[in-house]
Amino acid sequence: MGSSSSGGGERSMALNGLDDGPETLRDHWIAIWMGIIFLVVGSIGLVALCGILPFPSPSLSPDQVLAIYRDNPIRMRIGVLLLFIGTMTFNQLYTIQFLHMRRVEGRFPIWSYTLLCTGIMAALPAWLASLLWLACTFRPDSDPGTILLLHDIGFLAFTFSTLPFVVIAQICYIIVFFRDRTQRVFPRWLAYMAVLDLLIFVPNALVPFFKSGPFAWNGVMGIYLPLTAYSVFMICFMTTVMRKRSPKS
Amino acid sequence: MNLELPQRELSKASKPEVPGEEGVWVVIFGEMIVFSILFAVFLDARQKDAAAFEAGRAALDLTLGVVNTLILLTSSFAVAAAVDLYRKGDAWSARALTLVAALLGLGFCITKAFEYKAKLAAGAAVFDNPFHVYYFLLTGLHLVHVIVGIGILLTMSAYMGRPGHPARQRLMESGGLFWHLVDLLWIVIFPLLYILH
Repeated sequence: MGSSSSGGGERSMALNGLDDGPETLRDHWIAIWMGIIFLVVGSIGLVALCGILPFPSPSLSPDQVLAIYRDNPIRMRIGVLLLFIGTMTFNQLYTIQFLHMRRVEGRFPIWSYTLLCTGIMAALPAWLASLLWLACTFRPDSDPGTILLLHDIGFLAFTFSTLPFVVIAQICYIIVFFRDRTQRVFPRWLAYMAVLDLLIFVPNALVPFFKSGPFAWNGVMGIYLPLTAYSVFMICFMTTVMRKRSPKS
Repeated sequence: MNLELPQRELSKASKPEVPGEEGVWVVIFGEMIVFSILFAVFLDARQKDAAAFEAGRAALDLTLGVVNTLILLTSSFAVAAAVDLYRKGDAWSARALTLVAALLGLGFCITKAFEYKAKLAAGAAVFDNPFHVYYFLLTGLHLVHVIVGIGILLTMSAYMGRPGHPARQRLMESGGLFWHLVDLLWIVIFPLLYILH
């Protein structure tokens, strides 16, 4: 299973022990850069959308909420457009995750495919939230009750996203600890990182019960810690996937 | 005269060994960072509404808090002794001590249950005071870690049947380290919630 045909020892140090050649490496880099660019664009949209990055509190008065959508419709619409672009961040990253995990599994790669499906589910609420916010800014003079409801659904969808991420972390944990024994595609500490993610995402389940404080959708346990933890996890994951290792037979 | 060290000793000297698996330190430092952020948020919120927070603190049962602290400190000591005994080959005593630590952990959970029951007797109104939101956040998240830690201790004691293998020793150390993390977190949470005014 050597790569002598692709021309020498350098090429055989392919990323993460893959024995596949320069095209695969290039595809990986394109995918990751796409993810980064989409994420940056989406973050700019989020900042433009919400004014400043701290999300509006769930305990704002109805007038304040309506003011968000009525004050600056052009800016909000541009922000939503960029946010839509940002929702494309994770598609290619989940595919990379899926493909490397599939290397670990045998004939029935249950966990890899579950990861792919769960990844889609995890990315969908952000898209839904963008759509609802678009509807809010599209006709800011429409019925206030409707705008308030769409505002609430949007933010809840965006921040109350416990289950898919918990399942993703659980699958990573299962694959790295229990399945990845022979090839060592992933380092063991990645599984511990997934455990850390799990512990941080569990309190996120309390978002529907609070309108202020750390569990609210603009709180530290509601959005900021889970977002940071998951970002760090994805960065670590992609870094370990992109490291160069000699292929093992 | 042979001036060369045997290869094994050379590699041992050049690679300082960290106890436990390297991955468990990811969890330990990660959780310390997470809880530090939560402590900072708590202190910031406390500063904004000192009266309500002080009222909430005064309603806490300090005795139960001290009892919990002693329980965790003792169980940490038991785990440290157990891991050391296991390393020396005395699997039976190591197993007994690990089970003692797990039992103490269970005692912690029971006293916590009493505290929670007393607080929640008033129903959801308890969350009107922001202090209680942070109280349940910090102690609740810590309780999740305690429960996970008890599970780890029970798994450790189950695996202590066969002593000696270095990889297994590392797993035992990792489990012990997690329990020490649980203890360390409580040692910061306790003064922050129960004593600071």
